[in-house]
Amino acid sequence: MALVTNTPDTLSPEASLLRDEFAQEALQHLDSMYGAAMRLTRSEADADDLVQDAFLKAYRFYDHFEPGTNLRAWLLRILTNTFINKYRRTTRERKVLDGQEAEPVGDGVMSRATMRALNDPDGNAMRSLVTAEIQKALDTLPDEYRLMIVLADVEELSYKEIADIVGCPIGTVMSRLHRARKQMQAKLVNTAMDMGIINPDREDETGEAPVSLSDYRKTRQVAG
Amino acid sequence: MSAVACRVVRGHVEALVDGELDTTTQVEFDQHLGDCPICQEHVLFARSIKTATKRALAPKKASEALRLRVLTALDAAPAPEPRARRLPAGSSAEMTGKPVFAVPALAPPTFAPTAPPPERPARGRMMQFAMPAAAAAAVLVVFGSPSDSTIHSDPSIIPLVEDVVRRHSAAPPAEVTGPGNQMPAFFRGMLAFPARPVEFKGNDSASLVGARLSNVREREAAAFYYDVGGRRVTVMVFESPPSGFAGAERVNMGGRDVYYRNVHGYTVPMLEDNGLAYTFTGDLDSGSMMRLASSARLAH
Repeated sequence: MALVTNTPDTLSPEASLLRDEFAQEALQHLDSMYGAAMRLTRSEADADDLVQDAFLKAYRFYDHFEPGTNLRAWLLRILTNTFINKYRRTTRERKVLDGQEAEPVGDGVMSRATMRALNDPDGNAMRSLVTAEIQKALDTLPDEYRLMIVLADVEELSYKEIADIVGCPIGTVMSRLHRARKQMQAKLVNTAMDMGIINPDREDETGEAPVSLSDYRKTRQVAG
Repeated sequence: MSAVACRVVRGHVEALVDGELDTTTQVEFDQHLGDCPICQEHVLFARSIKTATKRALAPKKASEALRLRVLTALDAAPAPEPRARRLPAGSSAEMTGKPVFAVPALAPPTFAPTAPPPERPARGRMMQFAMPAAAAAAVLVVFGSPSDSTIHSDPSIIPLVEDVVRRHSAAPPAEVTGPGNQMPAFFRGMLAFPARPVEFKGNDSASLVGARLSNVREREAAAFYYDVGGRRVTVMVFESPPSGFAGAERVNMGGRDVYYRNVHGYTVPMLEDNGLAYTFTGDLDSGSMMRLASSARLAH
């Protein structure tokens, strides 16, 4: 197998060791990196490029990695930054995030009846919202929101870790994640109505007050 | 009446579901949720969205081609500046700058037992993976071989056990609580196998407190949380790896085979039944953990 035959002869033993150590440790997170890259770029070719770029960059700066800390979070940070710097279409989405559309979409519009229908343990409505629908909903979110969902819900990183990756305060992570989820939910509710899983007419009959999550933004203390 | 107002709970549903509340708040919220079906509904909803999202968007396996591509690119990349990494001159006698690539049958990389040179204490943890360059290069070949369908070429159970311990330590919040007989319904449709909580025969201090959908490395798993005399115990159920519990010790306790492995200070007993692996991780001493596991009744 002629896989690694182009090693420069000049590579010192310790550099060679370092590279093998890096490959050994970092490549364990290849699936995570690829998954996140797919979600961010929405294209297999771009995802492959992004993953390779991120690993090369991580290798170059490997000595900046603090042993004993979360290597996966560190790699994801590099992936994210590489993506933001290189792959994303900047102008449009920046506008969305900072402009009027930054207001949460689903807030206060979903009645308890809708929520209950979606959460129905017997009908398992959320499960009927098949993978493809959830992926579609995610893919329509702006980059920053997509990133939040990927880091918080797929990679299950803590708010602190996400804040470190994105480079913003924890409060910003929380509000951004909140908006991202509200947008996702609004899209999923629409899909669920289209699929007939929940009945849009039922909401008028119940007369229940809409769920307000506005208090959320006033109180943002969390642990740590 | 519970001390927390609905307003406060509703305001922190996401933080609750994300496991970001401090313990005191968590306890207060749990109390409130026990009394308030409406708040409970909010939490259930947020949780089911999170679970569904995680399931739908779970990382895909990267292709072998991508793995090879990254490895090849790394190999061609210039060496990084190794700040603060100095090998003593005498310690690299068997290392050469030119790796040899002909020996793919070497021991798996994770367990090369090279001791860390004392000169590099900061890298001690990483250096347990250190190995002579030739061996390392051969490992690269094994690592990237197209026939290798798993993350590691290593068939041992140990990486799985390490992940089990990691997940026990991280203690992500339960996604479902309540009577054990409701839990199989929670997992239905999420897992390719029936996930039922184990019961501990004759152990009155052990009680099931919750469960969540989890993973052990790339395997889907059900995590069941128990309280055993005030200590946390996590039981993970997942499909047994093809190589079984290779790399684990085996003892016979009460007529059944109990496997175990010590990882990061935890003794993790394991049982196998009907193609499913059950691991037990808990904040109890080794003996108690082994007895607990051997008393486990695996429901069918």
